[in-house]
Amino acid sequence: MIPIRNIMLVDDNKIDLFVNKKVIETYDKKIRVIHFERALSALEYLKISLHEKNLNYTTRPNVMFLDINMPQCNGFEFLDALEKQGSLEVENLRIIMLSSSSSPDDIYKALRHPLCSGYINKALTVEKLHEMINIDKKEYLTKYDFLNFK
Amino acid sequence: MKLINQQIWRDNPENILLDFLKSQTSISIMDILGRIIYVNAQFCKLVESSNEQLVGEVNLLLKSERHVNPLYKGLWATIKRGQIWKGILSSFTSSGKMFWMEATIIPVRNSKGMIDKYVAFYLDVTQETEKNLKLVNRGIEFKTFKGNIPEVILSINEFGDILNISQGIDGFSIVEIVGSSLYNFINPIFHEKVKNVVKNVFNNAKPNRYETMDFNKEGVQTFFISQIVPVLNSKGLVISARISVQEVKNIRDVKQKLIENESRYHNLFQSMKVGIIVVVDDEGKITEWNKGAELAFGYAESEIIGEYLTKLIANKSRKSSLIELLSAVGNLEDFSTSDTVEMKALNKNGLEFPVEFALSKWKTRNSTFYCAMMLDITKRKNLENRLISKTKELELFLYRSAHDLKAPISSAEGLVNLIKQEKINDSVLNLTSMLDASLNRGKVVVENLSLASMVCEKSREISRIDFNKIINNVLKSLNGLENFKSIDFKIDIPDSIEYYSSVDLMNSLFQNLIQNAIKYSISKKSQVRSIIEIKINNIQDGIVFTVKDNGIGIIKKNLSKIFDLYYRENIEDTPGSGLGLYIVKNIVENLNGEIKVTSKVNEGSCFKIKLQNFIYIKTA
Repeated sequence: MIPIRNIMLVDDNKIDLFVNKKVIETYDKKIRVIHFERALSALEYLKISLHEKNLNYTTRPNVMFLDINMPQCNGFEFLDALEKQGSLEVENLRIIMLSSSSSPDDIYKALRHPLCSGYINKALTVEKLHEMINIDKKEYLTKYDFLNFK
Repeated sequence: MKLINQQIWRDNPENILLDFLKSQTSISIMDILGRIIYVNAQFCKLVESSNEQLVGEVNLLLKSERHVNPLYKGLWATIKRGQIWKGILSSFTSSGKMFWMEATIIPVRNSKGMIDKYVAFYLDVTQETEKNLKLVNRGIEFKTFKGNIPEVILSINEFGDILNISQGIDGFSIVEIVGSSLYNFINPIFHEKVKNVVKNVFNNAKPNRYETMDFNKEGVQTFFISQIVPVLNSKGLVISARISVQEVKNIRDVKQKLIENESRYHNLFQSMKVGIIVVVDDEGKITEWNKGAELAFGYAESEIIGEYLTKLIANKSRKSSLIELLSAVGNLEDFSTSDTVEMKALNKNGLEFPVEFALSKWKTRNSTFYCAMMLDITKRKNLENRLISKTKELELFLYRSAHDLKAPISSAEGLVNLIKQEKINDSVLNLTSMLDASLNRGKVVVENLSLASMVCEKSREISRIDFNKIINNVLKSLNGLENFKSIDFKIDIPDSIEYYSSVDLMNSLFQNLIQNAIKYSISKKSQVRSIIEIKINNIQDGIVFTVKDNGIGIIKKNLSKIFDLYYRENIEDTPGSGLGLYIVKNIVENLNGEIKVTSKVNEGSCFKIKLQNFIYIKTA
C-alpha cells in the first residue's frame, strides 16, 4: 500500500474542516492536508493534479474525505462529476465519505458508487481514521452486510 | 259428448240419445202435482233410492211452490206458466249426503194444451259447486276489507276458460259465465298483460297479481286488482288457477294523491340546487335533470334533454369512465342504489371537474331508467390533494431537519474530542466529558428522529420479508452494545412464514424491539444468564411475533406510558432517547397491527405484535 502523503478534505463546514485537520495531524504529522470549502474548487483541483500529464506524483492526494450534504454540489454529485472526467487517474485516490448522516440510504448509495471506498460517520476520530486507512473496501463492506451488497 | 262416434250417431240417433241420456243424465217425470211418475236409473243412483221408493212420491228435489225459499217459489211459478226453468238445486241423498244439480225442467202439455207433466233433467255438479263454495269460504277468510269491496272469485284453466265462478257478474249468471273465456270480461288493452301473468302462474306455480281498468255502466273508470293463485294436484302440477278480483273503490282518492305527490316530488327534484340529478333512459339519453345539474354543467334544460350522457363525461377519461359506469349499471338490481363511483365530468365550457355519484335504476312498464345523483367534489379533491402534498412536505421537513440537526452536533463532538487532547486541568476534563455525554444523547435523539421520519417515507414498497436475514442483520448492527455479549438469543422462525410488507419498516421494527430488549436485559441477579427469545408464528391472515426478555421488567403503572414519545424507564441507568418504542408503535399502527406488552419487575417483558399480511388486505 502506498504510504499516505496527501489527504484532501472537502466540507462546507469550517469547524469540521478544522477538527478533521487536527485529527489527521494527531494521527500523523507528516501527512499534508489540503482542504476545500467548495466542492467545485475541489473538483477543479483534482482535474489538474490527477491529470495524466501531471507527473508530479508527490503532490497527488492519496485519500479524500468527502462530505455529503453540501450546497452547490453534494457528495454524490461530486462523485458523478469526477467519474465523467475520463482522463483523470483516479485509481490511486481513495475517496471516503465523511458525513453526519447515518441513514442506510446514504450509506448504501455511497458504498455502491465505484469511486467510493468507505463511509465514516462524523465526527472523525483518530481510531476511525486508523481503521479506514488500514482496511480495504472488500473487508470494509462486510460490516455493512445488512445493506445487501452483491 | 264429443266422444260419440259420428257414424253411429247418424245411424241410430234415437238409441244413442237414449243411451246417452240414460247414462249421463238423471231424468225424472212428474205429474201436475209434482209426484214422480218416472225416474231413470241414473236418478235413483243420485238420490240413493230405488225406483219403487221414488215413484208416486213428491219429488223432494223440487220441493213445492209453498216452500219458503224464493228459489223454489220461482221455479214452480216458471214451470206452471209453461216456461222452462234452469238452475242449480241442492238436496240430500237418503244417506244424508248433500249433492248439487244443474236442473232443467220442461213442462209438457197434453193434447188439450194443458200442462200435465214436467220432465226434469239433472246434471250432477256437486264437485264443482263444492269447490266453488270452498273458494268463497276461503276468499272470505282472506278478505280483510270485505265490507266495501264486492269480490268475485273464479277459477280458470291454462287457456283462460272460466271453470267456476263464485257469483254472476255484469248481469250474467254463473251458468252462463262458466265455460266462457276470462278475457271476455277484461278490457282488451290488458289482454296481453293478463295472458303473460296467467302463463307465468301456470308455468312457475307461483302466485301473482295484475291490475286492470274498465268502465262500468255509468262510464266511470273502475280499477280492479286481481290475485291469481295456482291450484296444484297431488303430483304438483298446476291444473287450474284461482283468481280473486277486487275493485279498488277509492281509486279516485288514490289517483288524486298520486298526482299531488308527483307534482310535489317533481318540484322538489327540479328545484334541488345542492345535488346534481340526471335521469337517463336505457339508451343513455338524458330524459330529466334538475337545477343543480343545470348549474353544474351549464346547459339549459332544453339543450340537454335527449342528448347522450357521454356529453357530460370528460373526453380524456371517457372510455374508462364508461367501463366503470357500465359495470356499476350491470351490478344494479331493480330499485336499488349502487356504490358511489368517481368520475371526471365535463361542463358546457369544456371545463373538467370531478364528481362522485350514486346510480339507481327503476323500471316502468316498458322501459328502464337510470338516475345519477352526483356531487361536485372539486373542493374536496383539491383539499385531499393539498393534504397529501402537505403530509409529504411535513415528512420531508422532519427528515431534513433531523439530518441538518445532526451536522452541528457532529461538529461539536469533534471539537470536544480535540479539547480532550489539549493539556487541560481535571475540572475542565470533567466538564468536557459531561459535555460529551450530553452531545451523545442529543445525537441519539436526532438519529431516532431521522429514523422515525424514515418510517413515514419508506412504508410504501412491499416485498416478501426474510425474517432470518433481518434479525441477523439487526443483531450484527447491535453487537457493539454494552450487554450484547452476555445475552443468549433464542430465535424461532418457521420456514413456512410467508409475509409481505415493507423491508425498511420491518428492519426498524426489529431494530428497536431488540435494542430495547438488550438495553433492559441487565439482570440484577447476576447468576442468571440473560435470554432474549424471538418467535414468529403464522396466523390466519398475517403473523404474530413475540420478543421476550428476562431483564429488569417494567412497573405495572408505567406500562401504559412506554410507547409515549420521549418516555424513558430508568433514566439514570440506561441511555436512550425515548423514541425506540414510540417508533415501534408508529410502525405497528402504520401497518394496521396490534401491539401488546406484558411485564413483571425483575422477571422480564414480553412484546407481542400482530400484523396483517398485505397480500390478504389486497385480495380482500
